[in-house]
Amino acid sequence: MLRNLLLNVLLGTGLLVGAGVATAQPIKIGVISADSGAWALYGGAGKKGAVLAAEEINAHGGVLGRKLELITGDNKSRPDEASRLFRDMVAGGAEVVVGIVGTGEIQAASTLAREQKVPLLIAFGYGRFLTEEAGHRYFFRLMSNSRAYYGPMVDRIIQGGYTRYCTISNDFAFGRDLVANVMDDLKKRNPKGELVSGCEFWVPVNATDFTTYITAILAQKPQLLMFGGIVGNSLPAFMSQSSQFGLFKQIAGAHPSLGWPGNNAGVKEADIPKKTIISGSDYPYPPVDTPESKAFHSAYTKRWSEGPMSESAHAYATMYFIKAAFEKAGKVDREAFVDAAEGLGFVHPSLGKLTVRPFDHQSNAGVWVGYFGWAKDYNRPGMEDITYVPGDRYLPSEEEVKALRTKK
Amino acid sequence: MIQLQIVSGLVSAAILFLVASGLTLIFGVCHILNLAHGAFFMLAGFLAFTIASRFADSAAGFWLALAFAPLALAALGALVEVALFRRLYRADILLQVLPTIAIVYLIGDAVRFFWGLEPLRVRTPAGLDAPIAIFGALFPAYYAVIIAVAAAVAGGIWWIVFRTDWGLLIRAIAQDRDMAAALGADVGRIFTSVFALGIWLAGVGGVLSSPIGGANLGTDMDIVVEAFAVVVVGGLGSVGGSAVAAILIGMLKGFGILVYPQFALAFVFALMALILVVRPTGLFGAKE
Repeated sequence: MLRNLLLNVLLGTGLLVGAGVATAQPIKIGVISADSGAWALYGGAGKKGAVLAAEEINAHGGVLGRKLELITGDNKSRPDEASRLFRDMVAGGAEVVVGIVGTGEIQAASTLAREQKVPLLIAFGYGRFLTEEAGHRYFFRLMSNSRAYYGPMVDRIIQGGYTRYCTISNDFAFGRDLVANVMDDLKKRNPKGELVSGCEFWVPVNATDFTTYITAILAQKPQLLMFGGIVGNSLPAFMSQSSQFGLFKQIAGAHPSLGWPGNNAGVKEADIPKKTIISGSDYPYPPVDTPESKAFHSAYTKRWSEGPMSESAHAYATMYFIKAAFEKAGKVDREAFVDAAEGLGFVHPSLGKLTVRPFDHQSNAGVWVGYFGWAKDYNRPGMEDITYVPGDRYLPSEEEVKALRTKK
Repeated sequence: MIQLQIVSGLVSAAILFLVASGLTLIFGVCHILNLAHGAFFMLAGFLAFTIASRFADSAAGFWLALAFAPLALAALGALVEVALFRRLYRADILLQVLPTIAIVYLIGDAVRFFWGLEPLRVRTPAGLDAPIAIFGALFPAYYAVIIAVAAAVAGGIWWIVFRTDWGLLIRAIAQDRDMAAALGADVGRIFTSVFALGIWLAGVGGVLSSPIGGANLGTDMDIVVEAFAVVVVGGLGSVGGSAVAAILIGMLKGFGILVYPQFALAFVFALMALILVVRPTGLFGAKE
């Protein structure tokens, strides 16, 4: 708590000083992030990315000759707080709002964005429905939709020839959704494959004792375990116990988001099996070897004395996207912003050149797919043998989006 | 593969017993329902992380953590008893529970402040990370250590309660604190020592389970809820009851998963509900 408070004070004063230099009125941008609560690790990293981008933009003359001023707020990982902050920020003069909170929490703010006609851009919250059923004119997502990150994993499972699966997941909305979607996809595309009966396990959120589950999975002798719904505190615990039982020496694993730095934080090198877990990431370690990726990594590390995570890169890209959209519009106006943002291209530090699709405001961001591994030079979990899979072919078409949005 | 389920059920039972026995001792003697018991368990995991990493994650570091972290917690427990609960023994039960909830928040925020938000891994002590065969099934050797330590602690508690003068006083005070006080027993000192012993047990459980689950925020409430189920099934205040109930619930968790994975956790609480209906005092609880 105290640490967060100090950070807020430091950020606040730093930005005020920056804003004071500008002669014109600053452009206010709201940043709602989960600095505490369940998503603190992700929200905190995203906020740092947004602050870094704003500082860089201001140091280079701002946007349309005006400085950016961030109005920040911690939603404590709670939906009601996200709504309250959204209202406060808009009342405080925010032209657009950036959300770095979980899917469930951003849903509340998205409804308000539609009502109040204020653009909301998100840098965390992958739930696919946000840009599909629940999407609208004022909502933008620059990173991938959950479809674009489990799709490539399903491809790999089918290519690997695995036919007997077990699943284990934390028991929460996102986990239920993910397991159902992945298993549906597998059933449709791989008729020979089957979910071993009695081998679908649900553990409470943040559970850390998996012993009885792992032994039960071993007893069922599947070829592959899909554990994509295991997240948060449960993940390092699960990895350590699987390693003690040699689980992934006996069967393959698949987890679409294990390569996400926030998801694998705390997993030890000794607990990572050699190239047996299929995974993906939109900010893999070691960082992608492109000039923009390296520049972002070094600027971020210099500013915050820690490595960036996916949300850092998304929030950073989002701030530059906001700058580009205002500049394309030629004025600071919300309707003009939305018109300019539709179909606008941008560069993401780790995913390269992307475009925001005009009809659903979802970018065509994809993920890097490969094996979960250890990034030796960064002394943290990472990925091996990665290839970039663009999101386009996994996302719904314009007609499909229309159908999803009109369906009641 | 039944052996695998038996051993993993026993490991769950061992940790549950350590936590539940402390909970039941404190309730049985001091009549305080210590909801903060899980917070001490969680704190032990973080202390284990710090001590073990001071010694470069060596086996010696872990054993030092097992020796000293629970003792440090016992001292903290004694302090809490003297500073807080001693003043509340004559108070209403609700008034006694509230401060325990306050302690949950205090410890939770302290852990966030000192250790941060990320889950921390504690390495399995070197030499015990390789699998060994138990009943023909391959198991991490460390699991045998957990079961052995829990069994030794169970024996130790039995010896203390039934074979020492201290234990005699504990039993006397548990049965009738006013009569014991009238006969000259130093009730305050016994309460402090029992509270410290209870917290020590939570500490041993926390350190022992840290190489399996790591040190995580949030384990405080998870473990106390399960331990509470064990205490209810075993009978409030009965250490022997909590040992039997822990094994019962550990096995239920192990085999429930094989039979009906979706309801594996519900089995535990269904058993608790059943016991409450059929035998409200628990399997070994004293009749009021």
